[in-house]
Amino acid sequence: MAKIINIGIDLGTSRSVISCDNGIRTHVASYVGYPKDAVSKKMLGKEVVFGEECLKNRLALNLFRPFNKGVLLHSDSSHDNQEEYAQAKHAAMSLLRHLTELATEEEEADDLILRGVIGAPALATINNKKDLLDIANDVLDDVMIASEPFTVAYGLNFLSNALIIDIGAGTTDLCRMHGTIPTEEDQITTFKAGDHIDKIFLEQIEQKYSSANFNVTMIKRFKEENSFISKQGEKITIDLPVNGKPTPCDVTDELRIACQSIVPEIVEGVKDLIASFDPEFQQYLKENVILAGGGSQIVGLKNEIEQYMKEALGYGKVTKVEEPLYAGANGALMLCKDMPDEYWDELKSK
Amino acid sequence: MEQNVFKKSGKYSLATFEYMGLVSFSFFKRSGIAVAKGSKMTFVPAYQAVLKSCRYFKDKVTGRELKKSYYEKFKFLEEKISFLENKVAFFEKHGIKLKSDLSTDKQKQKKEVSADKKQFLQAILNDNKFVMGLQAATA
Repeated sequence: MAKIINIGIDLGTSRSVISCDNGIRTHVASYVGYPKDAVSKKMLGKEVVFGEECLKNRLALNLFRPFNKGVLLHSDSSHDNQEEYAQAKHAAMSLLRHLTELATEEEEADDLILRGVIGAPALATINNKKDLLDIANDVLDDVMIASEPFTVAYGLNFLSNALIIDIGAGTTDLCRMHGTIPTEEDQITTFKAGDHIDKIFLEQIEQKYSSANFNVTMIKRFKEENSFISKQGEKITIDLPVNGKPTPCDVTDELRIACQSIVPEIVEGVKDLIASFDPEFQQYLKENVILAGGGSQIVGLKNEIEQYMKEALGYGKVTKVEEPLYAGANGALMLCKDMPDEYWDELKSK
Repeated sequence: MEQNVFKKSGKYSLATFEYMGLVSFSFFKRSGIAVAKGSKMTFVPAYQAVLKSCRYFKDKVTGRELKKSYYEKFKFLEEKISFLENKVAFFEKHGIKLKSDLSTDKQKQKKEVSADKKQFLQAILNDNKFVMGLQAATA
């Protein structure tokens, strides 16, 4: 008899995360690389490379980052960029296939039915969702799409009177939950997220240390380990090559400025969603602000949002999820497991 | 004369001793054979009876007796079952379900969710249907 494996998937701009009901969950940096020539192919011993391995061997690879701002690259402009769009789609499909292979490699059963729910940005367009379904249809047997902040809320069982802030690399999604499926009015997507922090951080360092040599990958890795907003704390230095020699550079202020750059839009979004909510229930919403996604790991962000809420809204309590990286995929997995069989069948017949 | 007497008496003594040895060897041999034969007659049937019962018990426990007699039949049945299982798996993979499939019922039982959650799930399904509907239209 075929074995059904439920899968929750979060195809992110920076990281793609998979969580399965067979106990396996993993994440891969959202990079897909194809060897540039026969020599690199021989060296790597593979037709296609994924994740961190791509970054390590990026000089020998044609590197693709198939997702941008939370959706497939050129998803909304496929007619103007047909070639890049097709490449991104192929790379995304390879990445998803790689993730599912990682999740099922220890399965002994020959016949596996792979059912997946994929998280999409809160305000993803029909085209964006359609692209995700196209990608997944070739890899999974059954697939559905759900709003990412909604999957986070579902996974945490905060389906009513909660405000979810999901800070990814490409987008920051805000979504208020009030016991029904969130509509467009309940959701806000901003594009100031992890990648925006990288961009600002890069610009700041370039201004201060013009003679240093560095690239976004180096900056990104450093940011992920040290991001903070708080004004208190230790001095942060990064070793950057200056004329080939690693030189310690103080980047404390630059990193703080970069991390702070995403806060205004987040807090504006929080304010808008709370202010436009039913006045009787605004208090409950203020008490249940949930911070998820990789960006929630910025030290001091929780306090910064709370501080702002106190000033602008009188009160606010922000809670960080326990596993920010897996919150979306775990929620999608729960959705997938709870989805009755007849619903899956309806999609098949459709 | 005296020498002959001594010589003869010595020879007789030796002959007597030799004869007694032969007689006693004969006694030992015959009695040994008799004892062995008697023992064999007594113990072998008992041993065989015990061995037979032990073998019977062992065969019962290990199922060897069953395997011996039904091996061919089982092999045939196993092949049939394996063929049917593959068929069922193929049907399931392609969305065809068996009403009597107990394992599917078990999975359904696990998926019992509250009415509230079911509404959320229904809304997600509708959203996906909408997206897929457009997909079909553009195709």
